[in-house]
Amino acid sequence: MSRLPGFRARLGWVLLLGALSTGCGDTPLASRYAAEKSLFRARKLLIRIANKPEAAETTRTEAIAALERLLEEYPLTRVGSDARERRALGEVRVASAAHLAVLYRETKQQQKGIRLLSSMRGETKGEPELALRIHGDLIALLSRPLQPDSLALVLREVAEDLEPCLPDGRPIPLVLTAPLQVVDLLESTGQTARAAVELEAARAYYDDVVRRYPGREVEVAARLQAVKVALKQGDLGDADGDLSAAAALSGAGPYEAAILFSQGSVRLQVKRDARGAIAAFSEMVRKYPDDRNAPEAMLQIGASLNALGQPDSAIAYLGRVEGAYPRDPSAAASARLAIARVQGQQKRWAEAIRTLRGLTAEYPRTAPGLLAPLEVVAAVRASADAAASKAALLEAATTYERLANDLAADPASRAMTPIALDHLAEVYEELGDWNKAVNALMTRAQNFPDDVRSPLVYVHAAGLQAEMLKDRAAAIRTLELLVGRYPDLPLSEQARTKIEQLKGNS
Amino acid sequence: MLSQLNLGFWALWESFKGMKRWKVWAPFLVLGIAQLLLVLALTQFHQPMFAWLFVPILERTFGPEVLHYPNFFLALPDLFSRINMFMDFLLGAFTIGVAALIIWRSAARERSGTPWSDAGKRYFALLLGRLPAFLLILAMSAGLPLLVGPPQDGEFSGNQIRIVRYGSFLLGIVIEALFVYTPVLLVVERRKIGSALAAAVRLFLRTPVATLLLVFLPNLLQLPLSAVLRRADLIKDKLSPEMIAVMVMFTIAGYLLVNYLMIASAVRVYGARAEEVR
Repeated sequence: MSRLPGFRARLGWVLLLGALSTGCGDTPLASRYAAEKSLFRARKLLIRIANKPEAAETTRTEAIAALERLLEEYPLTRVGSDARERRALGEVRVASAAHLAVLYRETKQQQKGIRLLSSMRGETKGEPELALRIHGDLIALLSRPLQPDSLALVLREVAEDLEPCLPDGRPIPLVLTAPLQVVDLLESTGQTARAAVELEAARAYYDDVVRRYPGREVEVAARLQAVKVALKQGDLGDADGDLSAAAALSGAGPYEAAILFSQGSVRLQVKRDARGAIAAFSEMVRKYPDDRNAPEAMLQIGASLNALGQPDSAIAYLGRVEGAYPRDPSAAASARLAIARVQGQQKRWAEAIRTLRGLTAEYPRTAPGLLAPLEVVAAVRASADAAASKAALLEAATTYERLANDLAADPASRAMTPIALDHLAEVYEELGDWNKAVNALMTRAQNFPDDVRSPLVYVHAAGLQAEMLKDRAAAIRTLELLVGRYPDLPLSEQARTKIEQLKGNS
Repeated sequence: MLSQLNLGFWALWESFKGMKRWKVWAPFLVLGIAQLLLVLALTQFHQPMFAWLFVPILERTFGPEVLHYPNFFLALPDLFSRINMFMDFLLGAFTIGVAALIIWRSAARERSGTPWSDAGKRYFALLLGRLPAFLLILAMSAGLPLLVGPPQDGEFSGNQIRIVRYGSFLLGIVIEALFVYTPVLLVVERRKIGSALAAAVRLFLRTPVATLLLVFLPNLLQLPLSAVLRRADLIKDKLSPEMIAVMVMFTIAGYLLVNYLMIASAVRVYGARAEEVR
């Protein structure tokens, strides 16, 4: 009892400490705020990585640890059932996962990133914006390098699980284009039977959207997608009429340019109605000269004039593209290529070759400019003898080597280098110089590991080594490089089998 | 004019020299500690202990986005200055009264007296004496933006913002100068509130240059501090959001110094010219 007065004196402090510790408890607001603070600090590390690439390795490890800790320490359960805080913490978690996925990709842990984003999808159900973000990031991750089966699966889920439009009826392109993207993906990987099935599913999907959202902007967008499906199926029915009907719908305003462009394409490519196509494309160019498809529409008018048997008018019209879009080198280069092809059709070979050489000289950083040397070879081949063809091929090889070096040295155009190297390999293959062809392919694959086609390039190079150079050891080494660099790709599984076969044969 | 300039500079210089006596700082420290605690409490607004009070205020004043990190820190200087306006009125009126007594007695070499309890007894008078300046400053904060004309596209132009910023500063100086002698008259002469206010204005009118000088010069110190706080976004990006809170604490220190110089100089001017207003 004699200690009681001392205890009483301290009781006040004990109560104050108790109140303070209760006052700093784990409430939804406090948890979410702490999570935001952790994310902000992790973002600072990301900024440091971007600003100081030389010290990026350690900082990257630090950032990965910080973001992993955040996701572990702040699960959605920390904020209970408070809807507002759940959404806010969800945003933090999704942003963290997106950053983490990028960091995983940079540290060659692609699959870890994919698993993380896949696991986050469940959390974002009922939160369309977050779901879109996570799916968008997942699609981007699965696209580079391409993992067709997983990507198709995610795209299918996007179409099934997410609404195709915002509450105000504006379409969400990521969702609305997903079914057709699955089709394109399967077609590009040679799975035509599955692509046909998916095309049918896409048709049903767009019909369903049209039915569910009558009179909304998304209806017009869905009708446009439906026409693309019909174009692919070759079962157009009255696609032209459907497009006119879509144009008459309320909410079609923002899509008029796309509708006119599609109408022109349908008329030219399916109905072979060049005059009708010219009418649609001309109206589009006149009304929407700044639309991103307007230069392409002008090119299509040139093609339509040519189809009508008016090559000179086509050349004259195509010549106007450069003046109309002086800041669009790609459009100008495409117009030059189209002019050269029309000249070729007219057997004006000298003029065609001159146009193509001028195209490479003036627009070397465009896809048509890079294709031109190969087109020169084709023109020479059509106009002269075998010796001239070989000289043209040698000239093309020199041009591509120079272009590949120039493009690689220029950061702004570096992304075009793989195209130049692809064409270079093609030229060497035509010349029968297999060693140089393999060299070009390996340079391309090794220097551009993130390019979608790089894994396939390894396979192609290994094929040349095994079949043409009869060098199985080199082919095995190349395939092992592929497996080492992309261990999770289905293509790598095939490469492992091929390696075993090659080892068995040697 | 020259004699007033002399008087103003002399009062400021004497106050500057008097800074060494720690006793004169005691009331300002009380105010400073209260302000520091307020800043610390504000930065912990998300904790349940403070959330019930600060979250509704923050949401109503700045919108729901302010409840997120690091947005809160961007709003902190503005939030602090708004809340501090009331704290300055309720607590500042008292501490300035205590400070005026301490400085007066210290200058008169009086050792007797209990300034804290003497000022405490006159708390309501001090509060009422501060009320006109408080209300005028509130009215100025609300009225000046209306006077510079309507905002264009929902936002004030650069010139409009500058007019409000520097206009508030200069008008604030005049308002403070008008009533700067009130607490001195209330605690030293123990005048009634009406008489103290009238005498304060009379003293200001007799020594306008000296009074404006002793209010204006110390307040210049606030300009660089507020200029730094206007770049809170830069502090957030280049340093850390928490540094904004640290900068607010620096402004508190600056504010205390300004207050000390103003009141200590006012006491000295009053001592030199008090006879004229009696």
